[in-house]
Amino acid sequence: MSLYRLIAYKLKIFFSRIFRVKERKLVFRIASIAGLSVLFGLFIAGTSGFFAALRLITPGGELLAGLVVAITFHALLVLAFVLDIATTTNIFFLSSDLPLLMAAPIQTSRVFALKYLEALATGSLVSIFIAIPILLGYGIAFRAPFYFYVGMIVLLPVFLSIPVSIGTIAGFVIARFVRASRVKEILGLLGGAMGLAFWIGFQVMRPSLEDPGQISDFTGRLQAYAAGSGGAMSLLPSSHLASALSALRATRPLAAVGPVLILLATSLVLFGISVVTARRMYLAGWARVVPGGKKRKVRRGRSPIDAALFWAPKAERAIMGTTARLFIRDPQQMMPVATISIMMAVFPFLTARRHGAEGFLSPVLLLAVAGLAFVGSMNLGMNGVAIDGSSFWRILCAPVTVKRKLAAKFMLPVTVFIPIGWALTLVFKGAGLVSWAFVSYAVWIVPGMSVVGSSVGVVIGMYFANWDWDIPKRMITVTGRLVMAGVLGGFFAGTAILMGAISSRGPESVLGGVMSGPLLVGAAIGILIALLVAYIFITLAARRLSRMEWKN
Amino acid sequence: MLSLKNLTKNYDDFAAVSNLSLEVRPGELFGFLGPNGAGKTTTIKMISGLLRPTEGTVEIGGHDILTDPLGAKAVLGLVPDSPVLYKKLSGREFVRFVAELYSVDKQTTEKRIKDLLDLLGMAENADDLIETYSHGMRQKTAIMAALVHDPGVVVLDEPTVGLDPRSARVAKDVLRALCDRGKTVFMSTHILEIAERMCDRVGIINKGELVAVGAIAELRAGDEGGKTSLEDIFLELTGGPEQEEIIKFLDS
Repeated sequence: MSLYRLIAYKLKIFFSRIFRVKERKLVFRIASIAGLSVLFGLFIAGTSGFFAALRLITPGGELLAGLVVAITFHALLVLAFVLDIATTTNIFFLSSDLPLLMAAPIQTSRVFALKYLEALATGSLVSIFIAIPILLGYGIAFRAPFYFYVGMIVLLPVFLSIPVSIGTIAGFVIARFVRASRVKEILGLLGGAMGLAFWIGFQVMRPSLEDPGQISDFTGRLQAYAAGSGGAMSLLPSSHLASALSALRATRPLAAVGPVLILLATSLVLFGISVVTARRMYLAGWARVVPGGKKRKVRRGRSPIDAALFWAPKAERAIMGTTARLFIRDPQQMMPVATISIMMAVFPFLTARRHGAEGFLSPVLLLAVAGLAFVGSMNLGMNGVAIDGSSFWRILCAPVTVKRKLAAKFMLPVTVFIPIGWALTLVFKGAGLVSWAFVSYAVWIVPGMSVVGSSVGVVIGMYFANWDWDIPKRMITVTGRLVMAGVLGGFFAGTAILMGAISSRGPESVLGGVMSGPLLVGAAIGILIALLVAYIFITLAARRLSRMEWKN
Repeated sequence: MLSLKNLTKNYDDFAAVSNLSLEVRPGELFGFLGPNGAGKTTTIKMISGLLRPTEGTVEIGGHDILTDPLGAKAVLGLVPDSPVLYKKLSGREFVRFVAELYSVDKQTTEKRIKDLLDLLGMAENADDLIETYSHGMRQKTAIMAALVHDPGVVVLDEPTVGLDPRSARVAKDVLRALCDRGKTVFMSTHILEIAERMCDRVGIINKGELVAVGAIAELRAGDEGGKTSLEDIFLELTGGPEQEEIIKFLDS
C-alpha cells in the first residue's frame, strides 16, 4: 500500500470522526467551525491592526514588529517542547492502529513516514493556529511580497519538525530500554524540563528593554535589545525562522537565504538521525522494542495521600485519593501543571532581578497568586473529572449521591491550590517582594479564586469530558477547550482591568488598611460570593451527571 | 432478588431491548444468552444504572434502580464486558477504592482483599500497576472489585472471556459458591457449554426480545424439533447460519 493511500485513510478517519455523527451534533459542529473561522478572521484582522499600528511608530516600529514575531516563535518552541514531544511516543508506539499496520504487508518505512507525518500534524496544530494569524497580520500590515507567504507555508512545518524529530530520536533510544508507556512518561518529563530550561534561559539571557541609565530613547532601547538578542538566543531555530521571515517581508530575499539554509539543514539532519535511529530500533522490527520492562510496584499499605485526606468522608476520600494518584503517577498530567507553577514561582524573582522589588511587583504578584489559584484549580477541576476516562463507570455505579461524587472532584483542586497559593505568598514575603498588606489580601483571594476556579473546571469537565481519550491532550473535547479558553480570556481581561485600576491608584493605597474592619467584611463577602458561585456551578454539573448515560 | 419488568431501551427508531421481563431468585445462577448485538450488554447496563430505560423497571434486592438508586447500587456487584480499570492504580488499590465507595470498613476490606487475591491467584501481582496486567488479570481484578463489598446480587457480562482454564474454573466455582450462599447471580455469556453446565436457568435474547426462558431441561422438553443440546436450541431461536450457506461461502 502506498504512503498516499495510508494518508488518505488517516484523513478519512479524521473527517469521519468530525462529520459522521448524529444530525444535531453535526449542525453544532458545523456552527462551531463557522464560529471558529470567524474568530480566526477576527484574530488575523486584530493582529494586522496591531502590526499596522506598530508600523506607524517611526522610527523603531518595524524593529518592534520583528521582535514580536521572534518572541512568538520562541514561545512556540517552548510550547512544542512542553506539550508535543511526548505525543510522538503515543503515535509511534501506542497508537491503536499500530498492530494492524505492522501486521499488514506494508513496508515499515512507509509506516514510519506515516507516523512521522501524523506526529508532525498532531504536534503542530496548536502552534499553526497561533502562528498563522500572527504572520498573516504581520504580512498584511507591512504589505509583504507573495514569497513571504510561500516562505511562511514552507518554513513553519520545517521549524515544527525540529521538536518532533528530537522527540522521535529520544523516544526510539529510550524505548530500547524501557516499556513504551514509560517512554511516554520520561519524554513528558524531558519535554517539560527542556521547555522550562528554554524559558528560564530566555528570561535570563534576553536583554532588558528598560535600562534608563544607559539609553534614554525608545528606538535606542529597541536597537540595544535587538543587538542583545544576537547572543546565545540567535542559535535557536525560532531566531532563524524569525530572521528568514523578517527578511522576506522586507523584500530582502537574499538576506533570508542564510537562516533558511540553517533551518533546513537542522531539520534535515535531525530527520536523518531520526530515520537512522528508527532503522536500528523500529524498522528492523518493532517487536525489538521492550514490551514489558521492569514492573512498577506501588506502596502496599496506606499512602501519604490517604493520610493527607484524613478529614474527608470515606467515599469522598476514595474519589479524591484515586484522582490524585492518577495525576501524580502520570508525568504527562503533572508536567504542564508543574511547569506553569514553577514559571509562576520563578517569574517574580527573575523580574525583581531586573526591576527591583519596588512598586511594580505587588499587583503583578497578586495576579500571579490569584491566577495560579484560579487557573490551576480550574485545570485540575476539569481534568480531574475527565481523568477517569473510560473507567468512570466505576464511580457511576457506586452507591454515592451525585453531589458527593462532584464534591470530591471539586475539593481536590481546592485542597491542592489553596496551600500552594498561600505558600507562594509567604515565599514572596520572605524574599521581601511584597508587603503584609499584600499577604492580608492573598489570604482570602486565593481561597476565593480557587473555589470559583475549581467549580468552573468541574462543570466544564462534566459537560465536555471525552471519556474515551487516549492521550491527555484529548481529555476534553474541542468545544470544551474553547469554553475554557473563553473563561480564561474573561478572567485575564477582568484581572487586567482590575490591575490597571490598582496601578493607577498606587498599589499600596489600594492594598492598604491591613486587617481593618472593612477588609474583613470585604473578605467575608468575597468568600461568600465565591461559595455561591461554586454552589451554582456544582448544581449545574450535578444536573448533567444525574442525567448521564454510559454508552462507552 | 433481581426483577426486570417490561424493560425497554430505544435509540431513536431502534429498539435495543423491548419489553423484557424476568425474575432471578436468591440462590439462583441465571445465564443470559444471545448473539452479538442482541441487547445483552444494554440490559446489563440498565440493571446497573449506567443506562436509563426508556420504559420499565429494574428492582435489585427490593430497591428500584431509578427511584432508589443508592439502595439498589449498594447491593449490586458488577463485572462489565470489558474491564476498563484505572491503569495507574495497582490491583490492590483499585479493589480498596471500590470498597471505600461502598463504605466497607477498613478491617473487613483488607481481609476480603487478601482472601480474594489468594482465591484468584493474584497475590503476587496485587501491587503492580494495572497498566502492566494482561486481559485475564484485569478481568480477575474486576471480579474481585465486584465481590469486595459482599453484594447480594452479582451481574457479570462475559466474565470468563480472557481467563485461562484454571482461572475460568475458579471463577465458575466462585459463582456457584455465591449462589449456594443465597446470592443472586446474573451472567451473560457466549459460551453455551458454561451456561449448560452451570446455570440453573437461562434466558435467550434475540434482537432485543426475550425469546426463551427456563431451565435447560424445560427448554429441551419444550422444543418440538427434539433438539438435544443448548447450542441447537440457541441456533434455532436466534437464527444461526445454515451449514449449506457456510459451505457455499467457503467454496466461493
